[in-house]
Amino acid sequence: MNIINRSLFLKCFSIILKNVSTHSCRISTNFIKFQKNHSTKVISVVTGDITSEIKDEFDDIREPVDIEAIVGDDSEKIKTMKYIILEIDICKQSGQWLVPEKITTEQWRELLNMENSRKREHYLKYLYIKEKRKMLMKINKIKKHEMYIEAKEKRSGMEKIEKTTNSPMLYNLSNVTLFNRILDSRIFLFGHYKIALAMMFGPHIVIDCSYEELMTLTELSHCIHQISYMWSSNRLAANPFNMILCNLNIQSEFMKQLHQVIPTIQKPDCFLNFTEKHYLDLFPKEKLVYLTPHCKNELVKYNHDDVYIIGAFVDEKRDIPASLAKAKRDGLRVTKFPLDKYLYWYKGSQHLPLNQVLSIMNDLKDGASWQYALRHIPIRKQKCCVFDNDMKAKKNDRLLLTYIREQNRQDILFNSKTFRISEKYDTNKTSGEQ
Amino acid sequence: MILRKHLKVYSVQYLRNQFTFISYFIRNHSLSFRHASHKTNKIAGLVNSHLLKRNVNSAIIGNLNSCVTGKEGIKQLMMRGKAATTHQEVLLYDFISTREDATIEEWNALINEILAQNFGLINKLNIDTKVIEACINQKKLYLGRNYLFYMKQIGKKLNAATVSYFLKLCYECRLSLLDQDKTRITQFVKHLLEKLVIFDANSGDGLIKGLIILNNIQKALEILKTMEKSCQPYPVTYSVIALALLQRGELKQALEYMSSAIEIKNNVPDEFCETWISIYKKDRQKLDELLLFLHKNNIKLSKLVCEHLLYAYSNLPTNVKLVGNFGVINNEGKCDVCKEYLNRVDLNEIEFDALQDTFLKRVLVGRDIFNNTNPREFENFVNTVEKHAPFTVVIDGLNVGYMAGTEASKDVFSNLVVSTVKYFQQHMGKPFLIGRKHMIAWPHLLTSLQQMNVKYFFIDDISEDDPFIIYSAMYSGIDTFFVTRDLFRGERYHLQSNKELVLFKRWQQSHQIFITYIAPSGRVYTKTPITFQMDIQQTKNNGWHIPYKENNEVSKDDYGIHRKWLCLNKLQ
Repeated sequence: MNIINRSLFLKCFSIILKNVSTHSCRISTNFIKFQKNHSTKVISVVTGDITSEIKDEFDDIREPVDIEAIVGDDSEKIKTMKYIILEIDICKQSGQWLVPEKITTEQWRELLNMENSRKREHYLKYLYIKEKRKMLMKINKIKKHEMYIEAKEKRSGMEKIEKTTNSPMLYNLSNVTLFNRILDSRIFLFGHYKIALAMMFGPHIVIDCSYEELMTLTELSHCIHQISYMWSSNRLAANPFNMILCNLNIQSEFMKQLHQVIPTIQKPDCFLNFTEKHYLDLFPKEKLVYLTPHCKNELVKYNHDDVYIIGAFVDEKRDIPASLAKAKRDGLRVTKFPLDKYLYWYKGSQHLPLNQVLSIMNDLKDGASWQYALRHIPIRKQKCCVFDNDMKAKKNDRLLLTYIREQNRQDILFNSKTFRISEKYDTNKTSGEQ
Repeated sequence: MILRKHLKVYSVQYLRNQFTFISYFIRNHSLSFRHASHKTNKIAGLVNSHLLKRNVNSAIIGNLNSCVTGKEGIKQLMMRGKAATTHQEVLLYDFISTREDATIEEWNALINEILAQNFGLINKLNIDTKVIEACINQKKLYLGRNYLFYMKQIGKKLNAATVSYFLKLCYECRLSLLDQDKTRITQFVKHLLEKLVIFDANSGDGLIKGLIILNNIQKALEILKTMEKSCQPYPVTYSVIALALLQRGELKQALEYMSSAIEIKNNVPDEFCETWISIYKKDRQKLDELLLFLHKNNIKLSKLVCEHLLYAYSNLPTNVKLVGNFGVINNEGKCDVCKEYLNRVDLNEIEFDALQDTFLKRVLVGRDIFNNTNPREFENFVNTVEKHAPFTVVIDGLNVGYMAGTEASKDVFSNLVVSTVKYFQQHMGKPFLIGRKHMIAWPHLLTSLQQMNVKYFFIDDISEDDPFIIYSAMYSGIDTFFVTRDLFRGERYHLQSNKELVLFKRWQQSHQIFITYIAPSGRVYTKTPITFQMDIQQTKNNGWHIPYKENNEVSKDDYGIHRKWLCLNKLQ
């Protein structure tokens, strides 16, 4: 093809492309086939008007931001706000940091309070991961639904009976059942009655909520979700605890986020108790025992006369023994769980989350052995007994490992077998008896 | 009524347990898309047999079995997260590293492949800058220009980030620029200055590099000042400006900006040193100025720069000449080449006192005394140290006692401690023991300590002993030693600035005694500390000893003696 024809062709095509959206850079296959024989080669550098090449504004990256609604009239804060907006836009264009697409006004306020750009980076990464997780859940939901429908059609042998016929002879999951319909709220009433008894006579457990200043925002949200898991597992137990949240300021952020997760907490019907008082005002000093992972005294037997304290402190990256410091200041006794005695620890920290601690205490109170009580700790932190120390579990074998561990675990639950390890593979040395 | 509720509750919980196990199983399986199908069939069979024993509804298993065993299911699974991003990056870097020229088809094919991965880091918005970033790493200007031409033909417009990254590209390849490029750069710079009033660390970096290509340094300095108010710029920008000022001849300003870059990151680029050497080849004073500047900031050079230095010093006139060679250093500090000893460690008293104060405030006390100690214990400790100071040696009782392991008998523990204390009392003078309260139960410890008239202090079992040792050693003067096998890596984390870290390391290496072996007779074999300084240093003949790193060497925790040195000490 001659040069003249080529230039004409390019002009026509450029007119077509201007109508097409500029973000998409996928071109039809016909064009590629046509241009195969006439591939362009760059010989000279482009000159001329370049300002038409550059975009004018940033607005097509994100939604417009109401600066006044977030900040107000502070001139200094407006400056930092504009600087943060610039940072985020350039990170989206260059891929330097992981940045989410939508940021709410509360999140903007939290961004403003941060001092460094490093803290902003970590916070934006957390928001990005949250967004992507929600996207994936939606996609997986749709996929599962499609697979379910395909499998349903494959299942043959069942005649399809319409729901309008009201035949009482169908006993299936989605049709008539033997049992009356029992709602979850009725089941919880059964549990709330027992918590009311516990409030008057029974076992108390204290949760210390004074660590808000030492936690970052992500750790705070993790802490509050763990408290909600505690609440849900407690009220379905056989003999539930009376949970008391101490040192909880009503006007703090802890309370705000708790209210989002458990909105019924401030109603009089709710059996989750919270106070602004200190736990020393509620109970005498001799009864209290603080649970920490930073001490050396191990809990041998559960004492029914003692009141145990759990610190609502989530530390994912630091090593500050804050709960120990608090116990020392108040002059209380201190214990920890004997994890090294009964478990073979593989990986991960021994700072357990709060819901696991409470479920372990529930089992101990009902008179269970330590091996039964420590089943709440996940398998990924524990070593499998069959394999040696040196053998690293590869990906293909990890599934077999999990299956074997789960089988052992269910033997404990349903057959009440003791969990024994052969001496050959007993390579882990227990801690000294000091 | 009660029976029905119980049944419902337990049946629901039973099913929930089974379902959680199955969903956990599937979730872990779906991420590992490289599994072969025959293994999944085995596992699915095991799961089925296990669950049918418990009489769970087979419909659930049937549905989920299809997910597990179907080959189509495995192919439809997408790559997510790190796998997708690495796949994208590999495609990009293979493309750019292997070729010098590219056509429009090839760019299209690349971009379509990269954007097909929906869950990777590279998006429609990112991709332009990522391509140019890859060109910067491989130093290919031609491909960068080619990409802009491709974008113009498609009709795509440039972002502000791509503009700044293109300017960085031009700076990296500034020796092979054409006049046509410079006109483009002027227009880009103008556009950026008009549109962006404030500058980010990333965009400002590109702008300053663009301005330096056009030899407009005054404006670059103005922009740096505005940037420093709102953000912390990269150390690269400071070093780039320092280089430009050097080439003009303004030395003091160049060294100022270089020092501000060193505060952030303890590194000097090779180009800076090489340009300095090439400009001031024949000036002995200026070469010495460079090395003095590096001596103050405790920097180690690379081998390339050292070769240039050798060549430069050897080609000076005979009055001022220095001759030398690469060499190795002894345990005692003797150089192979010139057979002289290196300088001794010099710690400033002012800086030392400052270090001591920071240690007290940040490490011992911290935000909360109760993190490490009690206030009562702290008072007692401070009182004992002030009474009986100064000491010559401070001994870590726990570390010494557990040298033979934690499962030995208590006689062994006490013997080890007593033998070390005797040894140091005979040879050095006044030792000080720090231990824990459970050590009182070790037999014959307290009685032997009182017979020898040795001072001691025992801490609670809960609190840590490392900050106590360091504080008591520092309080009693610059000349005190301390005995542990612990390297105090955790205490370094509390010291934030570079200078404090360097001081602490220097003090630690020159005052720490390691114990290698204690015989049952009581004889103690120790390892003396390092007495000489491991920095760029000047000798008596106004020569230089320079430590260097090999090219592409990873900098680890440098414990021990640095063996590789350049010796420039001889006059002929």
